[in-house]
Amino acid sequence: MAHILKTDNLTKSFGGLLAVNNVSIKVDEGSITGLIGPNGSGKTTLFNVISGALKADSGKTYFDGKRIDGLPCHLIYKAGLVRTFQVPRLFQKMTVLDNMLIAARGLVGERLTVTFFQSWAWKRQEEGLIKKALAILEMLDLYHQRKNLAGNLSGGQMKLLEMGRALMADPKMLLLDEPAAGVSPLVVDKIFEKIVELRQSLGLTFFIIEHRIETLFNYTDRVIVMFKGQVIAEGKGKELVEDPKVIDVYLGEY
Amino acid sequence: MVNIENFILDMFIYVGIFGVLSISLNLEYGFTGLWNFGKVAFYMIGAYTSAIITTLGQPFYIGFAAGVVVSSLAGLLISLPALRLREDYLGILTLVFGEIIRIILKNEYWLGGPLGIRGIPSITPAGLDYTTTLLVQLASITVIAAVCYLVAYRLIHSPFGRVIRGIREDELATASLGKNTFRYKASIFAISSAMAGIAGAFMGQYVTSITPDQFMPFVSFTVWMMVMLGGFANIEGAFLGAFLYIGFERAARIAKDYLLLPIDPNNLMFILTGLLILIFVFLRPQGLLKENKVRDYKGV
Repeated sequence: MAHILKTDNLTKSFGGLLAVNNVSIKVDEGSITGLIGPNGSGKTTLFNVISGALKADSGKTYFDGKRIDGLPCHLIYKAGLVRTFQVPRLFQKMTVLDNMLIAARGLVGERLTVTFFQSWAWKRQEEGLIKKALAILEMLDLYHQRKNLAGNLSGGQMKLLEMGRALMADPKMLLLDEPAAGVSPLVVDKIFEKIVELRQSLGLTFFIIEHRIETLFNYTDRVIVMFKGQVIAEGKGKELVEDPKVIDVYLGEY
Repeated sequence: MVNIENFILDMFIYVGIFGVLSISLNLEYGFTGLWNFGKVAFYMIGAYTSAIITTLGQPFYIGFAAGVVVSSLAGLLISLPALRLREDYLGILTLVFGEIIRIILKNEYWLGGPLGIRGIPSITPAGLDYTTTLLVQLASITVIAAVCYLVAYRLIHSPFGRVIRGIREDELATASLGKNTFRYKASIFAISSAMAGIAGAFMGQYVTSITPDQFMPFVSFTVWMMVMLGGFANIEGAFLGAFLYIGFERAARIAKDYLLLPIDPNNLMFILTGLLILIFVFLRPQGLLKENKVRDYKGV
């Protein structure tokens, strides 16, 4: 299988702290890949560097065959790589539906000439987008909240909305930073079942940070383990459970 | 009571001028989250550009157009370095920018120096009686304000307006959703500076003389107070805020003549407006009117 995402010796430090240290990973196209590691092991920083929120000190990132390191966030989005955040970064004072619509790709109404002189053009385009947004909201059980402000949602609903917003962007690949954090156990399985379903129906690739190892092992094809900024192991869930390094830094905590 | 109608007409003309300034600040701060404490700079640039051009004998519409273009370019120019700053630094920078422009104008004698520019040709023909002149001026500022309102209305009720609200709420998230946030912020800065420019150009020909010291930072803060009163991110509130502030200011100015106070009565206005702002900050920090929705989504 082709690698949709590849990093080559990515390094990012904050002062003297090497948050991401020579990380080279590969994510297969159409796979669900997990990323685990104790707190502070550099998982979120790796996501930030890949998605352009932070600039890497050195190293290269390839997405879909093109180099994307050093590009600003909005161009990485254009390439088809969309992310969510560990703490949901919703537009709190905007409605759920507005949160969804803002993420859509290729909005004609974002051009000023259209805004001022051709409002019929964006209104027509938006009819279709609203239908699409509502369908996604329905799938995520957020349909009844569509006109509520995003800031009034519960923590779990915010997580779901953020995933919905990312789906609205027609991504090729999604980086999900703890999509199930703070969500009740029943909903966790539902979220991951949705992820598996989306992979099948849309052919999306998922790269997921998650702390619940059992969940991750159940739903992912491969898992990458980070510790102190470095990748210390990768493989299928069951092999990893027996890897002494992994047991030492991660499973050992249990 | 003589001339009360002129007093009221003059008041509404200023409500129009400051309503336009408030819309322009509301686009920047209310909708996009850009801290602009230097609104007066673009007001001043519009006023001076138009005044210089019309005193050279050009018709008013060329002066107005030049005021709009130069202010807008100045807005775009300052936005290039400034918009990369964090919001509080942007506030400091815009505040200082206004002062720099004012002090330059005060020291350049070919631009009028400390005495400013006098004898700016008015848009009203000479020979009209004063009340008619005021009515013509009021009609003109109403047209200008209506145009600015429509521009803002189109902007905020559109996908563009959704994105700028997104920048206000969370810039990183907006960028991660594929928006070139810098382009949006620069566009907003240019558009709202153009609005401040036309307000300045209009004010110059209405008063017929401008001096640098008319453009102290306090003018920017006045516009902030109007936006606070009317409501953040509400373009109707911009006019409501301007009306309330100016009405309150003038009422206090009249009231002081009838009151026996233990303080210097000239300070009454400042004390009362300060009190009003405090009351708002504590009781209704979002202002009187709620944020404008992007769309109603009828039937959804």
